[in-house]
Amino acid sequence: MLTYIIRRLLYSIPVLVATSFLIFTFVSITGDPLGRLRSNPNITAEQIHSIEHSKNLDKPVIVRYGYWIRDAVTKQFGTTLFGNRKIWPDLRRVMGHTLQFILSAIIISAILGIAIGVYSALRQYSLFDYTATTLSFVGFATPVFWLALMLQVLMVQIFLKWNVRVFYTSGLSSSVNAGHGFHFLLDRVQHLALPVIALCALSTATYSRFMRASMLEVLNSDYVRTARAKGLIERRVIMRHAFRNALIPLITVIAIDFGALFAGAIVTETIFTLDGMGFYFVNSLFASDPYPVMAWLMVVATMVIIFNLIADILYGVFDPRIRYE
Amino acid sequence: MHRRKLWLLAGVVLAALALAATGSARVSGPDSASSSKAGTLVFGAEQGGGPDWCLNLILDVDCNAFWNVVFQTPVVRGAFLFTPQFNWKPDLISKAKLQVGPQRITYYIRKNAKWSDGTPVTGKDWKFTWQTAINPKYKDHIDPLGWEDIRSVVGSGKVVKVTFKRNFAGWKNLFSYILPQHALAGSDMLTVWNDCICNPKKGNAPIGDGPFLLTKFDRGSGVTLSKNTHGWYGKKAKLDSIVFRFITNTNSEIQAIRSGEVDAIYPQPQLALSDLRSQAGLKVVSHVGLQWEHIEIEQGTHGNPLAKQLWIRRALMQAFNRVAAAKALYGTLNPSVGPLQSLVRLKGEAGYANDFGKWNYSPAKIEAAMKAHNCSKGGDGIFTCNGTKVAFDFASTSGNALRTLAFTIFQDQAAKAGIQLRNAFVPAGTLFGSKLPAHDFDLAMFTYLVTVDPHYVVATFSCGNASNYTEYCNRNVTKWLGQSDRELNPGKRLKLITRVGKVLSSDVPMVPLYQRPTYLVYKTSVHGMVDNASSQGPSFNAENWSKG
Repeated sequence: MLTYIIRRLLYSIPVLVATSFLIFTFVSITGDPLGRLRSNPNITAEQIHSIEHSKNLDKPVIVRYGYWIRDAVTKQFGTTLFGNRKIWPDLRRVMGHTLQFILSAIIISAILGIAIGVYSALRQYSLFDYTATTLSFVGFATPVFWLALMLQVLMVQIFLKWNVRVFYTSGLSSSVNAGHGFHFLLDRVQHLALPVIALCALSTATYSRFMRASMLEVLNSDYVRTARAKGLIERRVIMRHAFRNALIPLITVIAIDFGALFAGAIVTETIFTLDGMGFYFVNSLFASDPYPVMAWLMVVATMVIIFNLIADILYGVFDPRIRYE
Repeated sequence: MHRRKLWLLAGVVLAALALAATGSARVSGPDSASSSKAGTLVFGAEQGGGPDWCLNLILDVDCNAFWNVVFQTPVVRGAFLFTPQFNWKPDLISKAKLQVGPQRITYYIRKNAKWSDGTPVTGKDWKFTWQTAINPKYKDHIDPLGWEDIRSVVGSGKVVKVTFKRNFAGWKNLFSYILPQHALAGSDMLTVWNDCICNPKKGNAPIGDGPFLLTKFDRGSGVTLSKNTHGWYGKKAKLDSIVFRFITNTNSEIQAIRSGEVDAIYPQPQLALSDLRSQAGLKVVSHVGLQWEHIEIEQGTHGNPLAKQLWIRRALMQAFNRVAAAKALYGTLNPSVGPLQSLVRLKGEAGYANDFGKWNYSPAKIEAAMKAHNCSKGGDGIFTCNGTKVAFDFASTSGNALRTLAFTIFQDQAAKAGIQLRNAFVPAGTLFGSKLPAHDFDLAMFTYLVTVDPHYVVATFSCGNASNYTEYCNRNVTKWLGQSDRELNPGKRLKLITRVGKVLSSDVPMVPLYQRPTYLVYKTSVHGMVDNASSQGPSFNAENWSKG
């Protein structure tokens, strides 16, 4: 197992290097970090040339990539192009925020998805099954940005009619009097509720379909039939023999999802102005600053690789038929 | 039994959460105060807090963003302030005396102007600000315009004399941000005020000479200003604090003020804003600001050769129905937005003249001009002159809904006049980074954000200047503009500028379109808020804001 993990990690290094070079090149050639200066008629061309020179923007992309690699390795991704701000502390902050956001979304989606999937499988072709299936497809088909905007309008305005604030539409906490302890927690929940619901819609749809299919497959398997033939009560057959085994493929899907979502649900975070990974990425991209974009990319790529690896390992742990050599 | 208990427990938890949620929610609709603490105003800020964001406004190349000015006008003051009427108003000074031969400005600093730690604002701060601006270490971070023309700054008390090596007409732009010498001497300006406006010698305690102090900067979340309880030269702020909350998505910003999460917003013009006018409990104020939209006509070798001919540029001028476009784009948001008629002065500024008013949308006149130059209309309704189709690539920034709509309108208008416009929209980085500097365009539509001082006109229209993207060249215009930059008499300077404006309206190097309107939206429970459509922004009188 250890050899397998080490081998997988070693394979990921060239992947990271190649990805970083490609992205650095694309970001560098498509954006102009000095664009806003060029549109200012008071800033002269000489000044702009001087800035280009001082920030190495006049050097070939490959040379600038070399500078970036050096800073990334020795100076924790170095500093931003303007303002000379250290990148890593900001990235760490937004990672924490995104973690709160996606953890909540994934836990809720997983609970709902599993419950709906299992019940649908047990009551196959029932009214509940048809309704759940229809709703899952609605969940798949609904654009997140639309759902997010609708939630902002409907969920907030409905409660405001009764002069009650249940949800907030932006930010992670109240600007004024976010409170401490339980009040802080509650405030955070009120702020995260809508973005989590928006994100859950798609995830729940995915997980419930996965769980239903997996559960149906297991329910029709020989060992479940054997368990029933042995005279076990139905609840025990479902919970001990069917449910546990049906859960295996879903666990890996969730692990892979976690890595991917760590990139930040860019649309959701932008609409709800959540200070997370996606929002950070969008801000950096708008500033055409390749350095925070690159730092973000490396963190995300690493997380995707790690969680893919975790998914593979979990598969081996839960399914005794899988062995890594 | 077990299942029943489980349901019971779930019910209790849900009920407790619901009770806690509603109990903690003292917030209601826009009619009431959104802040649970009286005396705090929450302002939605469309920019701020990104990875590159820095607070130190003296580093105007790095940190000079409009919202930074809004955050800090109540904190760090300057010699002058722009008023909503686009005039200069003495701020930290009681008056400034101008002498000529050589140019010398004597600033009389207000006797009661002081920093929040009690240190008076003096000539030492003036000198330190100038020395910082010309420090070679910061040459790529500070625009040297005007600063390098200063020979000396003398005076350590309340009277300070600034002597220039050569005349600099835009002197009122200088010293708009005075640094505290006693707090910042010896500090690295590139890092010291990146995250705070503070005194590094006093454990980064907030410092300022305005009605508020910047007490908190949460990157990614917001900026908090707290009342300067130590006093400043003006009257004490009515509010205890102002929280500028970063909400960079305009739709979310609109939703935030609708739901009462913020007390005020100052968004970029968007059609969705029109709904707010009818919402009870909100007030919408709109004025034309200092951002002006225009179309540049490239006359150099990389542009369309037809545009070198004056009569074609005039035909283009008559191919755009600017009145109709302004109405279609901004009519519902601000019906007073109309076509801009000058390239050198904006509406609301002294010297604004109806220079371009002589050019109206007129397909008939274009047809007559085309025929006079032996051009003929093809089957598609587009003119052809000497075998060349009168067609132009129309560049602008992609992803901007209002610009896309503007292009669609102009394309239709021009086609009816026999001129074809082809969509050549590119990302903003490409337009400003390569197309404009390389003069690689036929027509380009974008916005200039300018200051009240007309210095920007010099760079934009002088022959051979790198910022003159159209490559327009008129020796007289260049001469008058050069003179205007050194003319210290405001009246004479304005005369030179307006003379240039008249010539430009004949030469047509650009098509002036309209000034973009500002939108200040605030709750009716907020008092004292005034829209300042200049580059100063709405916080210029933050000390007068109150709630209740």
